[in-house]
Amino acid sequence: MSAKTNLALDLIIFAVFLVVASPSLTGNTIHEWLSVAFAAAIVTHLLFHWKWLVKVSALFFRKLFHQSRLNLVVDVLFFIAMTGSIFSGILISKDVLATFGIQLDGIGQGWKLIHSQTSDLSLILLGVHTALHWKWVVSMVKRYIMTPVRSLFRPASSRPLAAQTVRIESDK
Amino acid sequence: MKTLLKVILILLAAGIVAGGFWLVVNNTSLATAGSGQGPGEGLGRPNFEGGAMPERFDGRTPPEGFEGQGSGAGKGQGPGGGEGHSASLWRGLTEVAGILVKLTIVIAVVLLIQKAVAWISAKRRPGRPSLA
Repeated sequence: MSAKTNLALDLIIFAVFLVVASPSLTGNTIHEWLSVAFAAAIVTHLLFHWKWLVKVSALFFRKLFHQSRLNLVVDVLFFIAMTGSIFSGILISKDVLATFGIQLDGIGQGWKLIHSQTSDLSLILLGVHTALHWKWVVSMVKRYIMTPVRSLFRPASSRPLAAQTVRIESDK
Repeated sequence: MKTLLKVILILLAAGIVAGGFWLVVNNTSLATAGSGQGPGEGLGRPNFEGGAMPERFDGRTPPEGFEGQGSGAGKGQGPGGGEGHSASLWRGLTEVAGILVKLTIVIAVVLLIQKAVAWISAKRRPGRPSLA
């Protein structure tokens, strides 16, 4: 899986997160269905980074660079918060469950509170997760977005000329 | 096949976490939390579901900005909170901007902490004496 594909997926997930976390923008129905799609995107993200997950988990209690340990702890907490948010969201959903003909009785207001709190926690952990990978994000954005965009606006005169062979003839 | 197994493992882990949340909610006071209250009231958010005007207005015309159809625009609205949201571009964009501001603050704080830790580590490392 190339870094470009990774960056594209991460940017899409981030954009979807922003939309999902703003139910006022989309209304309740789209918020619920987009969240289901978001859950699938998270699973895809985890699949993309499976090898790292397995490697760091196996070495967590052995000699391991502290940054990797911190990354894993933050990622696990993020996973728990997101799972809580999505699970509680499904339990309190109106449209998603109704589409499948499921009606849950006895779902208390506690689930709404869990949904709200885990969503807030997910937002904070997303910030921490992004900050811990900030260097990667910046370098990838520079390489795959900013440099190609800048090259479009570079004037023709400053663009490097194609190499041409020059033949010099000496007068004898 | 390997991918399918990985997906099953991820969903299994999610299921365990979800089960943990279920046990916590059902075995604590959260299960009956706010059972006498309307949605969002416990969090200070007005409930405008079904177009019913809140009693606090006592039949008077509510101030501008209060909509009768589940706006739920109370204070402290979290990313996932409230129910009965109707879509509103302006409110949505304001919410997105708020989320981006919060994210920026968190990222800035973490980066500052990282820089501070790196600076402290560099200060603590003693300089190596040169071999004559």
